Amino acid sequence: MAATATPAAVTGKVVQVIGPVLDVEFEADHLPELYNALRIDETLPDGTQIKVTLEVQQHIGRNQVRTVAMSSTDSVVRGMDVLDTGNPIMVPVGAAALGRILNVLGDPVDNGADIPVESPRWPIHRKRPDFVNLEPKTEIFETGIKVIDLIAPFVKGGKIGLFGGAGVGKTVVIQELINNVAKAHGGKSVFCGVGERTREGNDLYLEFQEAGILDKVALVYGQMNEPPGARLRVALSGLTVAEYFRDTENADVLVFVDNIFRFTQAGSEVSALLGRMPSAVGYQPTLASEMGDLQERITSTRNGSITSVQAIYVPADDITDPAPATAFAHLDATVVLSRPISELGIYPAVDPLASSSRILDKQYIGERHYRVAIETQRILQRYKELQDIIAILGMDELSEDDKKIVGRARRIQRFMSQPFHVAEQFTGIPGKFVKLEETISSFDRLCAGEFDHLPEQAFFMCGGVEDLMAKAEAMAKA
Amino acid sequence: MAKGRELKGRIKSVENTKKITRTMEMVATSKMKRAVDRVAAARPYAAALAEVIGDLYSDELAEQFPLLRQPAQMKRVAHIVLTSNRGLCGGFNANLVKEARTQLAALEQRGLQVEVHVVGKKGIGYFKYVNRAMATQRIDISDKPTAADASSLVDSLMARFISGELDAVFVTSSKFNSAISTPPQTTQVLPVKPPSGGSLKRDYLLSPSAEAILTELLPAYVSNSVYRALVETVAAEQGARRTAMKNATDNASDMLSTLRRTYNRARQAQITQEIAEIVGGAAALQG
Repeated sequence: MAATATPAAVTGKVVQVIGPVLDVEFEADHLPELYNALRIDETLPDGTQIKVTLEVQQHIGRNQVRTVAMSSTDSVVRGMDVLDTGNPIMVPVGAAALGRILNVLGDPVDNGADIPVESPRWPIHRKRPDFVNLEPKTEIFETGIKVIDLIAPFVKGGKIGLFGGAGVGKTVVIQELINNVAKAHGGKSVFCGVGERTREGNDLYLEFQEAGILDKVALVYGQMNEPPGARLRVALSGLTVAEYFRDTENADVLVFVDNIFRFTQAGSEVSALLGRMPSAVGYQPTLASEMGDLQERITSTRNGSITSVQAIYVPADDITDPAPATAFAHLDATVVLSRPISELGIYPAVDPLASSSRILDKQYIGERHYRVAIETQRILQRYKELQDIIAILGMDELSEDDKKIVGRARRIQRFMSQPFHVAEQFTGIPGKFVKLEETISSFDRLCAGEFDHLPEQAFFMCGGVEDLMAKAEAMAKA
Repeated sequence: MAKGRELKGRIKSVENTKKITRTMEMVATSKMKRAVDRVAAARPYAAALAEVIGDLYSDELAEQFPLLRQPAQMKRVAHIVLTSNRGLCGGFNANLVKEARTQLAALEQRGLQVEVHVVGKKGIGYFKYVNRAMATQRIDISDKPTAADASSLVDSLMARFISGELDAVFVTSSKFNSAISTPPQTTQVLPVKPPSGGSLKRDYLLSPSAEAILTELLPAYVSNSVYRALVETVAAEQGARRTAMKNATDNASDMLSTLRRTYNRARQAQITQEIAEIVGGAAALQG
């Protein structure tokens, strides 16, 4: 990063260290700007190298700035020299980033060669595209996952959120999407690991390598082990890489972020240390603007597009929690994974009543798709309403019509499960990619009651109708 | 907190449901008591009737009575299906309808023309749903069926049987073994199968003749067997309702305890949250 330092390097001194938050004093009139990156580069008497990058968050008076550290502040003591780099954190973009694993600072962490000095670098803090440049077109983006294509169709160049509590399968869905979409995409993809398991990041890297598409993918990780500063900024680093492809190469880029909640969480970890008063549920008072700053940048322009899929953890399965609720408003399509459905053993555990999409509208997806999606939801909604009655009074009290609806709803529910390519080693069933047209027609026939006679169990883990028929036949024989 | 209010609403509604089901359970218990009394009261009369007919019956007499006529070939039969007017009695009506359906299917399999006479709103609802024509529909038979109800149900069928228009009449009803065992059954009321009670062959002094007595008794026997089906079905309905409502009350209790636990947990979480926010806010202001 030496290349980015301004000639008139300014240094200050550490005056306070509170975990990931450091106060640094500079000479008067030489205060670094907000969001500038500062660096500590010292060697302790015992020979340990200390290299910490800080980001300026506040000017707190008395010629001091308050900063957040991007790596561990162990062994940082008062009085250490701090260098103002004169720029925000700069990450390598373009070809240099492809096929590599970068951290929040843009340094490679894949034990590979250093990033060439001459490769372009962009600051991670950038403006969102202007209104006039935003891309107005809406086009459906096929994923091959039945329930998603039907109920919450993705928008090409749109923002998609995958909401889910702990352990309902967010990461598996995102990996399947990578498998179905990124591998067939042919264009460039950016995967951004924010505060999730390091192992998953590693698995993904190896998977890309195996699939032979590593040279089209940039991975930017700031996982669970990193201090809050890194988790707070790594999403921006990843996004900057994607923006470069969009703006300079006019490319259609896929961005996967797992997990946006960790970004909010990291913000809340440092918020109190920065002296902000906690707001609702203990989150930072700046929750909405932080989320807005990030989300507004993930967008498509007239030049190129960014289609993003973001996993969003839902704390305690409460979707009204401020963190997921704030993210909600920014999204074009929301896929909600629900615990009751995962408890039924239906994977992907998409809640068809809570999930939705901006383009679930006749004018975008066509009359038939719209009708089938709404009819499916209507049947499931009716089933949900009847569930209390069934729980108390039993099935026998339902009218004949309602019994039929319940039977059909249970079949629809089961048919929404689907074997995943990435889960093949767990389920033992080869993954299925179901084409949109087939999804629509099979749900249409299901809603019309064509398959009411088949046993419910046959609807589990099917691809299309042929699968269903084959399964029903096998069950009839057994 | 939206979740708490929502839970509270659900708790309220389940509580109300539970109140209703518990009341219905108690009502059904007392009604069943009376219905069972009626079943018990009908037994001695029916037994005596069967005994007398069995004693008087002899094969030579069979040809003289049209009600005893055993058609060589059945063509057209009538099927009476007894169900209840009210629901909330578990699988009671469903079982009766299922029994009737299998019987009807079996009869139609044999190439017979079957006309269905349905008693009770629930049965009528089902046959309407499957679009099956019903010869008659009755919903006016109360919880206390009378002999008159039975006659009104079966008299016209008897007449048509005598005239040869019908070849058999069946009744699908519930057999009341006990409050918890009320299996559906289908019995043939016409042609009358002579009861085998007369093993003793008492030496009656008959006045008027055996023919005259049988002429009176046979129709009474037929309508009595329908009457018995009616009272047993009512008793079975109340028994089924009691069991169903007891289960419903238990289910509602289970659901309530889960909902209350969830609600209390949410409430406490909210209190903790608020305290944490106040303390945090206060601390931040001091700092």
